[in-house]
Amino acid sequence: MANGYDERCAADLANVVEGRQLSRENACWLARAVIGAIRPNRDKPFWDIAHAVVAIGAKGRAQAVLDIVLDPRLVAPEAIARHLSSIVPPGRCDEHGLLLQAGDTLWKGSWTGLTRLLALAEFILTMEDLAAFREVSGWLDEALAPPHDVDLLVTRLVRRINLYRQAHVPLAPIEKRFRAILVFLSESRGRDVRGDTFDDDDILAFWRAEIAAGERPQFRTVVDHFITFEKATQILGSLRSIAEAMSLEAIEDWAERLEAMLGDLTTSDDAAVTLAESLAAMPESPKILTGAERDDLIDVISLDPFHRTRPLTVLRTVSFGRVQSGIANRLRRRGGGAPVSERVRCADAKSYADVVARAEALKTHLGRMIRIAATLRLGDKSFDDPAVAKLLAAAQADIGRIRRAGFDDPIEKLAAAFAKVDEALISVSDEIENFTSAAAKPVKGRLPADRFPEDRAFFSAAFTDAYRHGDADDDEAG
Amino acid sequence: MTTKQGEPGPEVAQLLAEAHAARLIAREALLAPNAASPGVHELWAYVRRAPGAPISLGIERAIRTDAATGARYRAMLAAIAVAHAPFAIAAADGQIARRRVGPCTIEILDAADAPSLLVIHLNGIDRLSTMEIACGEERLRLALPAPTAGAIVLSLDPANAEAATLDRLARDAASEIFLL
Repeated sequence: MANGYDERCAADLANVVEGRQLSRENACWLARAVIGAIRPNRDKPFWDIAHAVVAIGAKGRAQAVLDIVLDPRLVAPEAIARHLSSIVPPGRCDEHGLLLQAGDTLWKGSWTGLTRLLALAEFILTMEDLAAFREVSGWLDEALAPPHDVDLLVTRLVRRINLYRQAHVPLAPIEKRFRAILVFLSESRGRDVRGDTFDDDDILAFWRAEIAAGERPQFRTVVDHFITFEKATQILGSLRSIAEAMSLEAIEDWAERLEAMLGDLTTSDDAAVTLAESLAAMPESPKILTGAERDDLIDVISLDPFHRTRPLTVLRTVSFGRVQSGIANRLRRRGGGAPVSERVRCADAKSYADVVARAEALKTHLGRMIRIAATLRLGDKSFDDPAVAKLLAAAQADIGRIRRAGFDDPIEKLAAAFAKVDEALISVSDEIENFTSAAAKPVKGRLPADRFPEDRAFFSAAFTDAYRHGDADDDEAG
Repeated sequence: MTTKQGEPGPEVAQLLAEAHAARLIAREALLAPNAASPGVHELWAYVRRAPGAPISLGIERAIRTDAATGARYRAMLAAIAVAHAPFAIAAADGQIARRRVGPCTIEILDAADAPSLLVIHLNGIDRLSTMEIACGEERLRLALPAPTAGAIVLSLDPANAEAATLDRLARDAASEIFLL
């Protein structure tokens, strides 16, 4: 649970996202619904599901509803509209979506909204390897029989997802850390400065304070919290105003603003996800990037936007975060590699100059690959032009010099492989360029690379404090 | 609200925590390696297939050889089954002539000069359409005829390959039975 949640939840989510080929927006909404990051009422999606089930299934039994939820053809609003209009009883739908008279209120569920609700329903049915499948389908059966107790179904679904959250996404530790960050910043910034701004050294000082308090968070985990924090303040403005507004509950449309903020924040990793996705999808052959190259690139880009705005924090994360995750891994596995007492000295930590040099080398390599890709794109169409022919010949000669798997494949095969990834190569190269140029500029009057020796002493002292029991420690770092 | 000056209330931390978890999990899920195959949609369609419908060798193999897929298939089947029994209590020789499957009772009646009969006593269940029986590598799905006087009767004629398989599986205490 390095980030406060376990792999189960991401895997359950990935299954639904992949099976239904959900758009990024819908996938992020699903993540929010599962977590409960929905405003103003986090139970609303389950209330909607319960109404939709009763509206759809009036005639039949739970199996018919399961057929709809688990039908891969019913994922787009048009397909859902077409199919459901033909099977629900008259009066239960109009051209916009489903309708259900529940007591005094008329519930409406749009076809577009149903694409999300069906995905959430599939999630509940299939999560934890179908652990709740039987139970949930039993509840559906009951709700479909008179007296159609929608409220009971809502209560049951909400209770079940709460159990899931407690097991796989315990929010209390994350909330505790954010509370600590809020207190830390408002105390350390003093009265004149806004309590929700911070710099590289604040992140470091906060992490150190957590360790002094007996916690052992990974530095990267803390950095991830600050990234979320910064995104939230950017989207919403001052967090102090949130606090005031939430306590007063006076501002009009406040709930809608919070809901929009949660949506924006969850989808805000666009660049990082797209890049990391395409990096992960690079072919084995031709070996445009090795596994190590890919990992090093993801290490930097996954901290977006800090690779542009806080290069020093990225350097610290890459260099010392790696030392710390090595310690955590050793404790988890109870062995392997150098003992903890040696690792805490950070003797093997990569210097910031080396991290930047590695990024520069990767950039050079990416540039070479991009040139090859560009030439291969021209293919054999432009041989008539002598200048292009010369470029192509040069690139072909360069291909011949690359000693990597797959580069001696026929040129058509190479061209096809490169055509799939050349845009990603360019974006990755741009982001690495952003990082290296940011890292070349002084931060608070000094070049980030020059701070390595004192940072090493700092991290070493902190690790020594955190892991003072050495290999006798159990790892419970979060 | 009792928080001191400048310290945001607990709602802010909660909002941040939820946003943070949703952000990281969405990112992780989008980066996750491809999901297990066959997916739940395929598996559900297979659970819902009519008896006699073509068999998918790929799915059959996955159910048999991949423990997780097998468990998912069985969970779906159990969810829609009217009656389900993962195994029976066997007599000393491992053979059974009578077993409970949920509210129903299944009985094998042997005769000296005629094919044996398999009788499903419904015991109050009003309708069954399908029986799925599986043991080890073997899995059989068959349509059930309409009941007469609260029981469904099937002939276990050894000349019929399906009936012969059913005969063998039904006598094996290790067989799992789903009645749909």
